[in-house]
This record gives sequence, C-alpha cells and structure tokens, in this order.
Amino acid sequence: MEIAIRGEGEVVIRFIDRQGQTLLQERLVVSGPPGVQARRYVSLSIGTVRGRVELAPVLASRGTPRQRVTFDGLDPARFARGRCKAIGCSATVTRDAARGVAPAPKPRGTGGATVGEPTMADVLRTGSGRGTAR
Amino acid sequence: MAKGSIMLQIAVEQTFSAPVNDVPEVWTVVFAALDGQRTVVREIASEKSHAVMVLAAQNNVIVPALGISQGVATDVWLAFDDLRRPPAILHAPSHVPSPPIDGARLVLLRVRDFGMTVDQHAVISSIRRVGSHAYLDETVA
Repeated sequence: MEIAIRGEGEVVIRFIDRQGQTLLQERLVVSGPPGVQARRYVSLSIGTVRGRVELAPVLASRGTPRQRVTFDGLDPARFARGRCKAIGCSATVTRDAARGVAPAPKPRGTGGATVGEPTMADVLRTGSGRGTAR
Repeated sequence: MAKGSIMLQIAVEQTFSAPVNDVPEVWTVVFAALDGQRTVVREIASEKSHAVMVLAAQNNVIVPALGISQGVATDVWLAFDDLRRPPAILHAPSHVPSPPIDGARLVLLRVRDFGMTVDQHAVISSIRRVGSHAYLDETVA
C-alpha cells in the first residue's frame, strides 16, 4: 500500500489485525517547504508466531488538519473500512478503524524491545505553560 | 525565481506489539519542487536507533546470527524536466557543499533500511527509528 502525505507534520498509522489489536505502529514525520510531499510503501501482512496475519491501516493521528494523507490514493477512512471488511473485522472494529480509533501498541509475548514515551502534545502544553497542575 | 534555502526531513519509527517473523523494510521518500535554477546541497545526514532481539520460538532451536547496520542508506536525487537527462544522485553522509547543479525541478530525499525475516522457529523483537535530513540552497543561475 502506498501512503501519501502532503504537508508537514507527524502522522501515526496503526496496523491492526481482524480482532482490532495493533500489531505495528508507524510514526512518520515529514518536514520541508510548502508543498512538501512524502511517500511510503508498506505491506499489509506480517509474519507472527501464529502465522501470517493480514493487517488494516488506521490513521490514528496527523500533524494538522491541513496535512493530507491518502492510502493507495483513497481517503484513509474509506481505505480502512474496505480493508477491514476484506480481512474479516467485526462491524465495531471496522467502524473504529474508519474513525481512526485503534489501541496503542502494547508489548505482548516473551521478550521484547520496549519504549514508553510521553506524548509530545502533553510536553508541549506543559512547556508552553498551558499544562494542568498536578 | 529560486526557492532559496530548503530543508527536507523524513523520519520513520516502527513499534511492534509482539515478536514477529518479519520486520518490514523502510523505504520512504520526501520531495519538493524546485524552480530549475542553481542548486547546491549543503548537507545530507541520517540517524538510526534500533533495538533488536532474535528469540527462539520453540525449545532446542539455535537462534540464527543477525547482523544489523548502524546506519541507513540515504540519498538525495535532483531530477530535471528533460527525462533523458539522468538525475543527479548524492549520497549521505555529506557535510560539505555539493558542486552547483543547474536546472533541477525536483528534489527527493530517500531513506532505506533493510527488512528482516526469520523462519517459524524464531521471532524478532524490534523497535526502529530512522531519520534523514538534507539542506540545500537554490539560487538564480
């Protein structure tokens, strides 16, 4: 699948299985002059201990509302809806995927490389003095 | 016209929920239009941070050795209106200005890193972040 990005900012895409679990998250950050574009090509399946698993991409977030993202030339919600149906997601998972709702990746299984980062939006709010007092 | 100073950056971070048999490759490009004037690429650089473990998925399996590069492959392409003219391709790392190149209409920054695959007897646990940037100046020829 081709991911096309037009405009600066950070795009988060979560790749879910038919149960709606996120197996892979990709965070893509694009910077450049006005009109900058990016392309990334990804596979919509991955090998796991349970065998090959088909994935559906969910656009979890983008940098700004003006940043445009398409999957194979289609609106991400439309692509996610079609792909979810194709791999056998439930109606609830399909609806959530089209709305950009998918769980953050959580380490599962034995052994793993982990990362736990605060979201930069919270850090920016705190740094600019707009954070909530704790 | 000429675009002046331009920065291009692209970064990819892959986070997996569970060990997998194959880690997808990274192949991504970022690109912007130029005005066909004189272009000098001032810097091309890249960074990679990567944690990877290969684990046996079953008992009595010898885990394969795996070599992972510390860097990623990054290059800048300057493309021209005349498709018979081959693009100028500049490789990272480079921290000195390139020779001036006239007539480029498009600049592309490409980042590549390998995918990895093991068979069903082993799994890979991985987190990978790669990123590259290029600085260039377009001035009136």
